[in-house]
Amino acid sequence: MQTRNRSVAALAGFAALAVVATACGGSSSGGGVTPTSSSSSSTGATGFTKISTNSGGTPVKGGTLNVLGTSDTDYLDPNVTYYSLGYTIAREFSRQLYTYPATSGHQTDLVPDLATGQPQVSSDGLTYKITLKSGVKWNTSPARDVTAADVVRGTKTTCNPNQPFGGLPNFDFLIEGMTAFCKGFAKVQPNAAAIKKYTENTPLSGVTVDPADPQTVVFKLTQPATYFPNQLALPAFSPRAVEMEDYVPASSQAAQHTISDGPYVVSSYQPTKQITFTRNSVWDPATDNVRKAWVDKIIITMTDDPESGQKQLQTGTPAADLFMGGVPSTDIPGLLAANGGQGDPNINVESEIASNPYVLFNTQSPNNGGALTKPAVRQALSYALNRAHIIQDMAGPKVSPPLTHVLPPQIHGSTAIDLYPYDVTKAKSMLSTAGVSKLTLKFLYRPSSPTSTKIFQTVQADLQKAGITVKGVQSPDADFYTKYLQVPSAAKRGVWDLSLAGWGPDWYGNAALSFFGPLFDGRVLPPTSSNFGLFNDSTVNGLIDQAKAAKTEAESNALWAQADKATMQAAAFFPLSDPNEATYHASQVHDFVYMPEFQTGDFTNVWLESGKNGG
Amino acid sequence: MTVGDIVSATHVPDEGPLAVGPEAARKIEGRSPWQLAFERLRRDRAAAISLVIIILIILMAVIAPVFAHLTGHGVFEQFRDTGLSVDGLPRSPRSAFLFGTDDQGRDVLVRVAYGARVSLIVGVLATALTVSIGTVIGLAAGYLGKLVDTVLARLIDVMLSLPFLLFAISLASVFQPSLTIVIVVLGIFSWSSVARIVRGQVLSIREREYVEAARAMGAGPWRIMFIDILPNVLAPIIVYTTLLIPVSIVGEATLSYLGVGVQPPTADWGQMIAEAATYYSVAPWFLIFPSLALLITTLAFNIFGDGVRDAFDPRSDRQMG
Repeated sequence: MQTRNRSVAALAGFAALAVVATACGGSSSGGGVTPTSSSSSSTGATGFTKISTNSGGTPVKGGTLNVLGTSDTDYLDPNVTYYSLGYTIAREFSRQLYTYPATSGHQTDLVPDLATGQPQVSSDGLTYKITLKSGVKWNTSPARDVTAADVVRGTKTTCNPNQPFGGLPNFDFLIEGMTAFCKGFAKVQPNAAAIKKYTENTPLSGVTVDPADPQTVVFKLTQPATYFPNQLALPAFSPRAVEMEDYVPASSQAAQHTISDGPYVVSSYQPTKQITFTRNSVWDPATDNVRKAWVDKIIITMTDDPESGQKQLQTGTPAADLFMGGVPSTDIPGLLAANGGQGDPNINVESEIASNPYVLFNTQSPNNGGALTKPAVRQALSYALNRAHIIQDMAGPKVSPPLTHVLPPQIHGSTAIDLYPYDVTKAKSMLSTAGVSKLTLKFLYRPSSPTSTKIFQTVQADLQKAGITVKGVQSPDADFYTKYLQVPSAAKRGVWDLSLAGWGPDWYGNAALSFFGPLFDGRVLPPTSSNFGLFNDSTVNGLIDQAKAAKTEAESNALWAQADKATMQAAAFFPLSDPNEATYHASQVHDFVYMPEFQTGDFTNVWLESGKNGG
Repeated sequence: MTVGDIVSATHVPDEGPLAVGPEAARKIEGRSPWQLAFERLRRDRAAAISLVIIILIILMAVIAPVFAHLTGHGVFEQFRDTGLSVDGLPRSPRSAFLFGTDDQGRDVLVRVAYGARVSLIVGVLATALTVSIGTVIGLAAGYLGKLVDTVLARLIDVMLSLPFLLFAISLASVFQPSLTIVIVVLGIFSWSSVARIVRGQVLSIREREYVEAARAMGAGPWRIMFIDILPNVLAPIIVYTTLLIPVSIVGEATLSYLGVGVQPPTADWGQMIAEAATYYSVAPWFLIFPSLALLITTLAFNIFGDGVRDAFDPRSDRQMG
C-alpha cells in the first residue's frame, strides 16, 4: 500500500506539477467539452471529462505499436510489481482470474479473464471456488495448460523473501494461513533453490487446488469479503509457471525468462531502455474475452522525455503511437482549446479515480493546547479552507474536479455529500465556541513541488481570514514520507499540523476498503498504514469492520457510505479533488480506452490504421 | 563564491602627489587621496546615473508599503477572482494590476517593490558580514604572520576551494531555509577573497616606517592593526564592498531560485523568477518584471562599483582619460 501510495503520489505529484504550467489563460473553457456540475454522483464521473477513444471503423490486424516513455517498471514480474507501469506491461503476457475490460465507461467493472465465470461463494462467504478456462496455455515447450496449481504458486510468490509484493497487507490477513506462511517464507534464504523448495512443499490452507478438479482453485478466507474478487484482479494473483521457480522472484534473471499465457511474449527486455513484445503463438483468442491483440508487435521505449514524446505523437509519425504517462502540463490547455474549442480529437481527459491530494490534519498534534485533537476545531478548519481556491492551484476544476468526501464517485459505496461548504464566519464562531483562539498551525510541504508550495500559500492566506496563522515547514522530497509522514512520533511531537498527501486505491469498483483501511483505520499506524494524521475514531473503526465483513455488496456499500459520512463528520481530513489525467494518442491509434489501473490505454486492445502501422 | 576576479587592481595610492589627476595641475593645493577619489567619482557620469538608480531602488524598498496602499493590494493578498483565471492562470497587466498578477493572484508590482527589500537587506548585511570577517582575518594573517599567517592563509585557500552552491544547498537542507541562513551562507563563503586582498596589503604596509615607529613606541598589535594599518587598507575594502553588494544580491536570488533561500510567501525576486519559470509562455509579465528588477539593480551596483574602483585607482583613471 505504501509503495503504491507513494508511487501514485509521486506520479500524481508529477502530473500536478505538469498541469500547473498551463497555457492560453482560461480560453479552454469553450464549446465541445462538457463541463458538468461539480456535484458528484455515485455512478457517473465528476465534473469535466473529455473521452477520445477514436473508435469506429473496421479494426486492422497487424502492425507495430510504438509506445514512448520515460521510465521502466519496478519489477518485470506480475506477482511482485506494484506500480501502474508494471501493470500495463503485465497486461500483454500475464492473465488474471478477473480483470478490468478496456470498455469505455466500464473500465473498473470486474470481468472474468482466466475464470470461467463468477466465483462460487459458500453461504458463510468464506470459501471462493473459481474454475479456470481450459485451453489457456503457457508458452513453454511443449505448451502446457494453465492450472489451479499455477494460481496457488503465484499467490505464494507474493510474499517471497527476495521482494514481497508491496500490497500484501491488503490480503495476507484475509487468506487463511497466509500470515503464518509468509512469516515462514521471510526466513528462507533468498536464492532460487530455497524459494522453490519452500513454495512447492509448504502448504497454504487458504489457497488450494480443488481435489475434484485440477482447474479449480479454492480460496478460504478468515472473514467474509465481498471485495475479494476485485483483489483477485491484482496482477499479484496471476498464475505462475513452475519453470519460473528456477529464478529468484523479481530478479533480473526472472525478468529475462518470463513465461507468457497472454497474447504476447516478451521477446527482448533491456532494463530502463526498451521492451519488445511479439505474438504468443499458443495464445488462443477463443479463451480471451478481454484482449483483442490487434497489433503484431509492441515496442516500449523508455528513453523519451514527455515534451518530445508529445511532439512526436502530434506529428502522426508511425514511429510514435502512444506515450506512457500524461500529457505535459503546458500542452493541456492548448490541446483542449484547439479545434475551435472542441479540443484536439486525440486528447483524452478522464478521472484517475483517486483522492489526490487532500489536506491532512494531524489529529494528535499537541500544538495549540491540543486544539487539532478536537473534531470541532477540525470542522472549523474544514469550513475555513476554500476548496475552489486550492483547485485553482491544481490547474482548475477541469483538470482537478472537486471531491468533498472520502470515496471518489467511481468507487462502490460513494455517496455525494458536502458537509463543509466554505463559510469563514461559521469557522470563526465554531472556533470561539470551542474556546480556541490564536491558532498557529505548522504546514508541512515540499518546496521542490510548485503545487505543494502554492497550496501551502493558499491555505495560509485563506485560514488567515479565519484568524488562523499558518507557518511553513519545508521538507525535501526524499524526507517527506520517510522522516515526517510515516513517523507517528513526528506527528505526536507536533512537528506538523497540516500537510498534503494523495491516495489511489489498489483495486477498483468494490474498493472502498482500499481507501478506509489504509487511511482511516485508527488501529494501524504508519508506516504500515497511510493514516498519517493518526486519526482514530471508534465509530469509523466499527463501520470499517462491519463493512469489511458484510455478506453482500449492497450491504457493504451502505456501510461504506456511512463510514464516509462518519469520517467527514469527524473531519479526519479535507479532501480536495479526484483529479483527471490527460492522455494523448496519435491519430492512427484506434479504440484507445484510458485505464485508471494503467494510467494510460490498454495496448492489447488498440489497433493502428493500415499504412500508418509500421515504424 | 569567488569574487576575487572582479577587482583586478588592488594597488592603493597612499601618497597624494604621485596620484594626481590632470585637475591637480591647475591648482596646487594639498588634497587627501579620499578627496581625490571623490573628485574622480563625481566626474564619472555612469557612476552618477547608477547612484541615482540605486537611490531610487532603495526608495522603492523603503516605500514598498505605499505601493501596497496605493493599489490596495497587500503583498500577500491573493485575488483569486480578479487576479486569476478559474484554471489558476495569472492575469496580464491591466489597470487594476499594472504589472499583472502571479500564479497566486497577487499583484506583481507590489511584490517586485517588496522584493527589493529582501535583495537590499541581504546585499548589505551579507556584504557587511563578508567584509568584517575578511578584514579581521586578513589583518590578523598579514600582521601577526608566522604560524597564524600559515594557518589562516591555508584556511583562506580551503574556503576558496569549497563548492559554494553545493554547500549552500546542503546547509539550507540541514537547517530550515530562511533569510538569516542566506545571509550567513553568503557571508561565510565570500570572506576569503576579502581576507586575501587585505592580507596582501597588510604584508606590504607592516614593514613601513610609521608602523615600525608605532611598534617602537610600545603600541600593541591590536592598536597597530586597527589604528595604524586598517585606515590605510580601507580603500580597497571600500572598492571591494561596492562590488560585493551586487554579487550578494545575485547570490541571494540564486539560492531563493533554487528553493533554499527566502521562503514563500515572502516576496523575493529570485523566488518570483523560479515560480514564473513554468509560466513563461502564458504569463511572461510574471517572469519579466522581477527579472528586470534584478538586472537593473545588479547592473547599477556594478557600474557604481566600477566607478568607485576607478576613482581609487589612478591607473585605470589614466586609461580612461
